[in-house]
Amino acid sequence: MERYSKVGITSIKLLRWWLIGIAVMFVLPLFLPISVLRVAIMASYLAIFAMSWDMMSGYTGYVSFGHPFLIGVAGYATAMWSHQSGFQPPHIILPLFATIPLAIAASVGAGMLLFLPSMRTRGPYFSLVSLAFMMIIYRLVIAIRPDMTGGDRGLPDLPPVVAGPVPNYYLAIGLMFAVGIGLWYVTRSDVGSVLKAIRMDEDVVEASGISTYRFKRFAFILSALTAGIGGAFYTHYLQSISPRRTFGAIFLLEIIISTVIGGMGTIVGSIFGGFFLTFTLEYLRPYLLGAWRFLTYSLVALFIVLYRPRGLYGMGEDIARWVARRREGA
Amino acid sequence: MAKLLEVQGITKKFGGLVAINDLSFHLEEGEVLGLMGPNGSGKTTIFNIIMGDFLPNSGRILFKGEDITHYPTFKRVKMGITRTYQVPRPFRELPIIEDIRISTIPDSIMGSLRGEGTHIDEIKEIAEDVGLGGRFSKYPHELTMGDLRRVELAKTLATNPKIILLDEIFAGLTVAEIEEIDKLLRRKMEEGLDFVVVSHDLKALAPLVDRVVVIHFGQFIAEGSFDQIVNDEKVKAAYFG
Amino acid sequence: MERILIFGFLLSGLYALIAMGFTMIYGLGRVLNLAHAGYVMVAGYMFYWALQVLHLPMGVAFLIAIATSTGLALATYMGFVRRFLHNPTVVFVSTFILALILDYSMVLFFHTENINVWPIVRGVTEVFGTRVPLNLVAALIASWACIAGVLLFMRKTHIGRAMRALAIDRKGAIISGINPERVNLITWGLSGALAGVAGVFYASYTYLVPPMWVFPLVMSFAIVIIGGLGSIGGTIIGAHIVGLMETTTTLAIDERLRGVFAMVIMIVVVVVRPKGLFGR
Repeated sequence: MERYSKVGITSIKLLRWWLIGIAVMFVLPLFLPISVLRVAIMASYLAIFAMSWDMMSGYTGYVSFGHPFLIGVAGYATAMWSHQSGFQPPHIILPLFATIPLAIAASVGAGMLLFLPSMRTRGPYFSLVSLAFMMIIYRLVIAIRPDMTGGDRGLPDLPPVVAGPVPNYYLAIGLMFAVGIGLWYVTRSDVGSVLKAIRMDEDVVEASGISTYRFKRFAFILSALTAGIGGAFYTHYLQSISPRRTFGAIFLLEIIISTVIGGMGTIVGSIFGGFFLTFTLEYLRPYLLGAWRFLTYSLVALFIVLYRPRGLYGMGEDIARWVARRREGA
Repeated sequence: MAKLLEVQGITKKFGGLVAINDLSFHLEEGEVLGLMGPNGSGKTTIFNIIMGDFLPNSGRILFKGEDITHYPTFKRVKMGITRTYQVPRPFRELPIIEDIRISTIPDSIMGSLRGEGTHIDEIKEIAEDVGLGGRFSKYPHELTMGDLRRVELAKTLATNPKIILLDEIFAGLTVAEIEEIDKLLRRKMEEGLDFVVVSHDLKALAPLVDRVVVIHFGQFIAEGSFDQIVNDEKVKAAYFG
Repeated sequence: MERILIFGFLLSGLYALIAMGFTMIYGLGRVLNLAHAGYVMVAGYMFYWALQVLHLPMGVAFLIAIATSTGLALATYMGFVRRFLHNPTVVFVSTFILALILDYSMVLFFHTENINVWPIVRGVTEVFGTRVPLNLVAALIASWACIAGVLLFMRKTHIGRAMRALAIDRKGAIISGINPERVNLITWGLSGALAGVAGVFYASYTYLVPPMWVFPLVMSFAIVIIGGLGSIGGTIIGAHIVGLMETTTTLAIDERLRGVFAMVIMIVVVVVRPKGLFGR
């Protein structure tokens, strides 16, 4: 019988990398200045959003251009219920341990709303619909009941979950690793195999006796859940929310480019992509003016989409394989 | 003999085009049925309807007496009906052993998370069984048409079916490959599998089938043993005009 | 009320022109070229640059604009779309990124302030009692001229019929001796040219600013989905539905809700009748 082993590195070895990563991130505050930690916090949240986007778009192939819709629903939900003006009626302000779960539930609900059109359409149709969702909520938030949503200014002065850069750093990376390991485990399992197969040929998966509806719904729920977690906590970190920042194209682009550069369909790649994008954006600021930076990222992203779809993660895998081969040869 | 699969009065229209017109036939337990007809007569369409890709405008499909006309595709597969495609549809980015494995993943989230699918050794056995030994990690673009057809068969066999609908399983094969597939199908028939076979290759089809149904323009034309229908006037008219 | 109808009608013609090239590419190869609205934008900028910076005559500026957009369209096709025709997701994502690249390029050259483009035709006129800028009327005439041109082209010329044949039955058309590559090039070039004309008029109707491509892109989607992807007639009707809804919203309801109703209708169409009114 022929010997066959799955290509790539086995799960146990990769778990080791997770633990190393967690350990390294854990001790960084001892060495790094506060300013760097602040950038790392932003990068962590972007990584969470990128991973949650990858869960839906990278795996099922239903490329969503409306992810900020899911994030924003959670953000606004927690903002409105915890803000001074409250939510009318009743005129109450809720504590964070109540608003955040509510916000996450809201984003899951939003995810189910987004799931509905996916049952009837695929590919680009779905992408357009998701974009439409985002544009609609952008307009609605500004125009409908601005007394509750803050209109086009948004809502400022939101309470933070924890105060200070170091606690927020641990909160951010804690969430990032929790989301990361959770999604990684799911996508490494047969659920991930089915989702990837759905991307390749949904009808054949259905013809193999698998309810694609069930699996797609699961992916959407997970994606919305993690987007909601990120959205709620991020909103309280920034202590404000505004429609332009949440539903504007730049945010959408940052998420998509992070995932693309990191490698779509890998989950872990999104972490690399999120950190890469955030740190280079921050530190290239004095050297490359605004449009040049985004132009460069877009060109890099284009190249990766066309020729190196595995992105940074793929490059990491190639390096690891090369190292392993050299070690065997030596 | 019990009727395993029944197509009752199926009509299917696409816009103004009547693809299937009040078609009825059945497959009995333990037999192999051949489905013949000129190009465009609706053979693939009726397969699609049996599998649930389309809903018919009228008529019913029964499996083991149960009305499955409105069941979703995956449910029909779980009940025991599967099909191969006229043009093989492998998963482009997967090595074929992984491709076959997809068919063995359970239809449940919790089950999939726990890895309750079939063990890889059993999957290798299925692949060996259809003659794919030594090529497990190859990708679809590296394989011959004969091997791609084997992959299709392996995928259907992996779902433990009762019936397989074979859509032009012999198309594009060399004479040697046809012989091998033929032997494989016979072995499966002995193991209790039933088939509905669509094929243009009459030489390949003849020895396999117990009975043949001929359709033309989506309508029933004739039925009988292979020899009977080959000499049937209506069938000759349909093919030769 | 008359204002809504008249402006709606005028705007619809322009929208139809913008969406036309988009639907042609889809009808041919089942690919969505998200950079299409980017070509519209670039054409607008090129027109402005040639006319108001280089002070070239209007006709020359027009030609430069159209040449640029056509060139971009062809470059997109030959550069990478051609190689990935079998993978619509890659085309989708990569043309989107291309649109971004065009956006940022415009920012680099022209910065982010709004730029007013001189109207092609100056002055105002009265239509059924409403004052309307002549430029908009000119846009309408140009749009319909182009649309009529395209329809004639598709019906009467050999190449046009070849395009339709390929859209209906690819294999059959190729067997009949039609050269798909040539038709592809012509289709893409034509869609680029249409985007160019649309860009010039759209720029003078509104103003130039780099993110200006997003709204027409989204409106184009709504139009082609409502009307049916791949159908020219559907695009025209869809454009009028969207154009009228758009005008009603901005003039009668709430300016801030611009585009919402078009979006909602689009979602409803996608869920209830994905083919749209006349799509394949």
